[in-house]
Amino acid sequence: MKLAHLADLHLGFRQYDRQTSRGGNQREADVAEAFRRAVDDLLVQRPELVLLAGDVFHSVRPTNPAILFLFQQLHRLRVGLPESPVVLIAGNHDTPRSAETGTILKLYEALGVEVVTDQARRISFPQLDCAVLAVPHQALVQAERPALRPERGAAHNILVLHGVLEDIMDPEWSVSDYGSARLTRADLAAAQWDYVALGGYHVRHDVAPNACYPGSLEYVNPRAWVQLREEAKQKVPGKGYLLVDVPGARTTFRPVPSVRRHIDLPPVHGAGLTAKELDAEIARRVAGSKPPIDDQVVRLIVYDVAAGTARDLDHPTIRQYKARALNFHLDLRRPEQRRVVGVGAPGQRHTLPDTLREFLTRRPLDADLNRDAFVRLGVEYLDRVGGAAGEQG
Amino acid sequence: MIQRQTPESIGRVVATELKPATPHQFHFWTANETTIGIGAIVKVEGPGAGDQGSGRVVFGVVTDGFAYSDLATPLHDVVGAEGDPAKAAERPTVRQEIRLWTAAVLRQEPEEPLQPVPLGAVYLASDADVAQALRMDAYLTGAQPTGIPVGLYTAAGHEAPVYLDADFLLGPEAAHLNISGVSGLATKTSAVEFLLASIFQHFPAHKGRIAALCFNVKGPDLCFLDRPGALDDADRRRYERLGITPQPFERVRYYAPCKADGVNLNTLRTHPDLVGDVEPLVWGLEEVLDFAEVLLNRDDIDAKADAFIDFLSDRVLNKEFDDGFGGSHRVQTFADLDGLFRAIFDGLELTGRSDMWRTHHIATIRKVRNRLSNISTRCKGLVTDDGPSNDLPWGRFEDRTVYVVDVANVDALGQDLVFARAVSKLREHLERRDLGVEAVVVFVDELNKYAPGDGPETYVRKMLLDISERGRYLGLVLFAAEQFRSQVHRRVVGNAGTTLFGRMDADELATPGYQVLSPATKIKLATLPIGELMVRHPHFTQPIFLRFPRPAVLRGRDGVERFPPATDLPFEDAVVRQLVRLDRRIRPNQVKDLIAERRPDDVRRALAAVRRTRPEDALAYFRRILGARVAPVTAPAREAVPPLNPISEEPY
Amino acid sequence: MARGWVDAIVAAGAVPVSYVPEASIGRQADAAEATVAELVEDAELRTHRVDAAAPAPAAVSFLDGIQQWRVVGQSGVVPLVRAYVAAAVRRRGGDRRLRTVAERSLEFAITHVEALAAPVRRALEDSGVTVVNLAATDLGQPSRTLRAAHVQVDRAREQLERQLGERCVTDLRDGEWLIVDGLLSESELLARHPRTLGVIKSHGAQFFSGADLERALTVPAGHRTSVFAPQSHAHQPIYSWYLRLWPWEGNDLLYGLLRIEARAHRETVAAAAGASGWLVQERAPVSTPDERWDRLLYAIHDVETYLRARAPRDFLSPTASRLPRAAS
Repeated sequence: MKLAHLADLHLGFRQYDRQTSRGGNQREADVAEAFRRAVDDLLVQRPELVLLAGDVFHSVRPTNPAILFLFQQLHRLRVGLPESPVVLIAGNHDTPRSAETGTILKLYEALGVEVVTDQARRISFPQLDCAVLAVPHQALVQAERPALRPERGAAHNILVLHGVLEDIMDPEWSVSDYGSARLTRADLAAAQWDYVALGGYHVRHDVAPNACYPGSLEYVNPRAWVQLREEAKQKVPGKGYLLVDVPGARTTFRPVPSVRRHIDLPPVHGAGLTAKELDAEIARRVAGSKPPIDDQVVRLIVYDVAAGTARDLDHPTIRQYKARALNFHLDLRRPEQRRVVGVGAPGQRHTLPDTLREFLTRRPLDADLNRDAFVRLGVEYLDRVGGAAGEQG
Repeated sequence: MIQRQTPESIGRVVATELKPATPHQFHFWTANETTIGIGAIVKVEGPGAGDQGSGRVVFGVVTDGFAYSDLATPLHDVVGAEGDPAKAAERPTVRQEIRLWTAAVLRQEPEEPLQPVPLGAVYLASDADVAQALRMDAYLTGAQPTGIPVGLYTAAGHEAPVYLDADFLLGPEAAHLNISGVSGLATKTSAVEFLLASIFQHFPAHKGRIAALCFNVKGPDLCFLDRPGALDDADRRRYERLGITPQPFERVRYYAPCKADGVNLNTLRTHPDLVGDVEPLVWGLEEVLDFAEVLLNRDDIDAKADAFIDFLSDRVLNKEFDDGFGGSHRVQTFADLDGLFRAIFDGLELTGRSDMWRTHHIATIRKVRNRLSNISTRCKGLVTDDGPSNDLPWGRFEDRTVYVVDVANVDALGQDLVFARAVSKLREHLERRDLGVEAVVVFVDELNKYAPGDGPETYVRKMLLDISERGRYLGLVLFAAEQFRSQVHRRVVGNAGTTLFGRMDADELATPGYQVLSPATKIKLATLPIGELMVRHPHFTQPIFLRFPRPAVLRGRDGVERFPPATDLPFEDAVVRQLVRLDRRIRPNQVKDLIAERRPDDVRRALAAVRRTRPEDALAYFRRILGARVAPVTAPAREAVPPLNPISEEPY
Repeated sequence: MARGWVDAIVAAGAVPVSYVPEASIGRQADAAEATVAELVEDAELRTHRVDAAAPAPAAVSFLDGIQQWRVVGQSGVVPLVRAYVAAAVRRRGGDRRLRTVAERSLEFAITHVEALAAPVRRALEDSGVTVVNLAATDLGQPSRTLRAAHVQVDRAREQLERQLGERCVTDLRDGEWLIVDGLLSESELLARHPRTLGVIKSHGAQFFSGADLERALTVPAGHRTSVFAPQSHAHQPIYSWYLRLWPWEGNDLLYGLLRIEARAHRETVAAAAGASGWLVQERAPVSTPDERWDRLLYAIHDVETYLRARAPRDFLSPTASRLPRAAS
């Protein structure tokens, strides 16, 4: 049996103010396009079962275009693969906070899609000799969770759920959503399943040979830059979905090309540079971008830029960059300094890096550690988090 | 106190050219009918001693005795009896005979100048004399006395309490206790039980909190420490004399691994009334890997395997790990680890590259794999493949509490592992001062197994050596017992500040370690009755014989009779029993319904979670952890997909 | 007072000497005298097997004495002898152990006072020591003088023994016996008591001749002779018989041979078998290392050991003491 495993479509996700020719949000259209391309591929690959592992929509109340778009795409699937059941579960993004709020996902049952939004359901597909335990976000966060265990009666047992394993929840590098349900490996008991289809982690990742996150279809998470870095680290080719052969859980990653690139230009160190020199450095970075920055999502970090220097930069040129790119984020970072705050009692208020540095200098330390290196590393980490946080929103 | 107003002398010091009195030894004779014997403490008053107190007073302990008559040669006895031994008894006159004793000097007053023992009258030592002779006055008086009663010195119908110095028994001046003696008399275990009770009652307040960790390595020995045992009047009198309340230990926490089924406990304390406070001791891969060296160097020292284990601990365990053949592993359980091993072996075979994987030879990897899989199969019940671990309460040790770890039925390898891990954890926490108590007494029997005098170096032995040499500064105190002291590593026994000897085997007494003892002392040791011991302690210049009361706890053998171990229950019933003990309201059928058709691993995990959390509603929590079963529902037959509304257009 | 007087006379000019005559430890042997004896049992001297099963009395006391003497000074040819005699009675009760019930000792000097140099004499008299004066006729050659001194020592010891024996015999309880080492016949009180026995180890006196003598001196082990009454005007009347403790064959005629003295009374004849029986039992334990162990009863040996243990230690002859001493 061949199944397709997709997750984290985040349809309806909006970002930046660039609009499409039809007046919609460009990024929302990008996200939709990614799914369209995925469906195109599914219709070619012809899996016998399609699993959508949560966060189909970016919000509980998605935009009308998103609702309609999903309807169309599922319709394509159902028509194109009439014998292949589609199982869709709700993730933390598309699960209502209160029970009174209905969910739009039920709409898609009309297409013969198995929609699981509240309680876990074990759905048997006799023609596939397969049972799918579909566990939506809500089922995992309620007091009494379902037992994530196969039952006798089917040759193939598949688990599909939306949640994040505790041991891959690294607070600093997190590419998952804070609202996700937490799971342990013991909860999953991957070894007991033919396949565990996971959603909720935006970078493709195997938690066991037969338990995988396909990752999101687009860089929808606010921490897109972190996703990029993580993908580079894990040598993940980008965004896509998984085709899985059961039994044996042999997985094939099907890349889904993005409409546009996220480009993180090499950072500039501005210390000692005049505004003009900085302008030149920035221009060099932009010129060296491959592909060119036009219509791409671009970030350039410039360190150690004094307020005066920042004011004197060539803002018209920068505005040109912003016009060319879908989004051009020139991330100017101030040199680290103490700020005098005139509010309340007189005194110095430390910046966060200062406070951390001071704390780390005093903290008891094992004798064999180099304190200077330790302090440097601590401040560097804080810096990185700050960089990521700066990207949010 | 049996004190006479004017004590009568029981003998006289005699000295001849052949048997002179020296500063360390003297001889005295007594009436033939004397009641003193080997081990008796005597006082010699030189001329001018006594009321005026100006003369020399010497305290000594009897180490040898001689009796002889004026018979010139044995042949003359034969002649006198005309060769008929029966006639020898009919002689009208009994020959002149002598009781001559040799005593070793315990203390001289004044101590300087050190002189030969004066040829004075010999008296039996009183309570006060015993205290002075054994230099106990130094730590029994003063602002912060540190005396720990250890038993009653008994001689000639006289009893005097003897105390050990806590600073020398439990650190920091000296520490550790070693006890040896033949097995089967229960003296060693009894002595330690009694001494622990004494320590708990007399550990000086200024020294803080103290707990004990006891490894039960055989039978039911330490399984009933919280149950009162039978004492007779003599025992009660001895307790009173020693100032100890005879009562079982108030706080005892039992830990035992499970049996292979993971629910029945592998201990003899399984009687329904008692099993409730036995905590399962369950370790996972992480806990095992911490001390995996233990598994390796029992037979050989292998730095390569050590290095590979370190690699697994540091780089693989609980981390995202790339096997180099395209596979990614997050190893948390033995099963995960085996998956990694298989991937490595398959990878090496498929690529045909070499016998090396990341600088580790395949033979080393196979060896480590074998040892690890060995422990998980041989110690199933202690080592869980993927369940949650349940460990001793590190950091939350309580004052005057005995923690009993029952490893009696655990494979030897597992015992080593438990021992190494527990002691190392104690050490870590004591170093950080966050164990919960300031001092811990670790009691382990069969020391010769863990720290043998010969054989290859093992992790456990190295650890024991380390404790014996440095533990006193940390408050980590080893109370160790063995049958044959000569079979234990010299530095381990050598570092025990206090040594107890029960009845000894004659062959053992013939080994060099006992050369300092007189032949008579050896004989006494070889025939020592139950409840008597010889003690060596830094303050005592000579070994002293003591009698101690039976411990006020139920003996293992009696305990098993009074609280017969429950037969192993079927899995479901064992689970019911454990849950019912946590919450009496639970009905067996509720549990059975709940766990029907569940996998045992899942049930065990849920049970462990309940035990750990101790929720108010145990059943509800148990159900929650197990999770609700989801019944299969066949997908409804799908109707044909309706055509899309033609007005709907491309939204983007 | 011990040696106080010796130091005094040496200080007064007597030449210090140290001479222990060979006979000074023991007593003089019985004078070799030929006496006659009258049989009171049997018509002719016979031997009788003793009653080996006869029970020893529940309580028996043993009397013995010792004597020690040495020449400690010379005033010209006049020797100054220091003598020590002691006697003790040790009683054996139900526990078969001996305990001292009476003992006496005496130290005295023997010399011829009048022949001493004046300062020495003054010193001796001032010291307060008891002095036994020798007759002027005893002076002359040292051997002659020493023989006379020896007699005095013997006499003093015998007197002490007799006094102690007589005191003891009056205190004897019913059924209790007193065994005296030596002649019983020297004391009337002892010789008349029904439960006293004298045990004589030396056989200087000869009571028989011819076949009787042969029978007497070849009496087999575990046998005694017929009871006889020695005829002597010097001694109290007593009955006597020979008793053999150990076989003499292979040794000598006197080996293991005792002569027993008892009250001169017909009951003695009847009691001789029983008394001999338990006396034979007294041969064990043997009194080694004493050379006379073949006829020295262990209990007598014990009394002697007791006395020697309590005697002054400086009577014993130091080895190598005969080396010339530098005069000073």
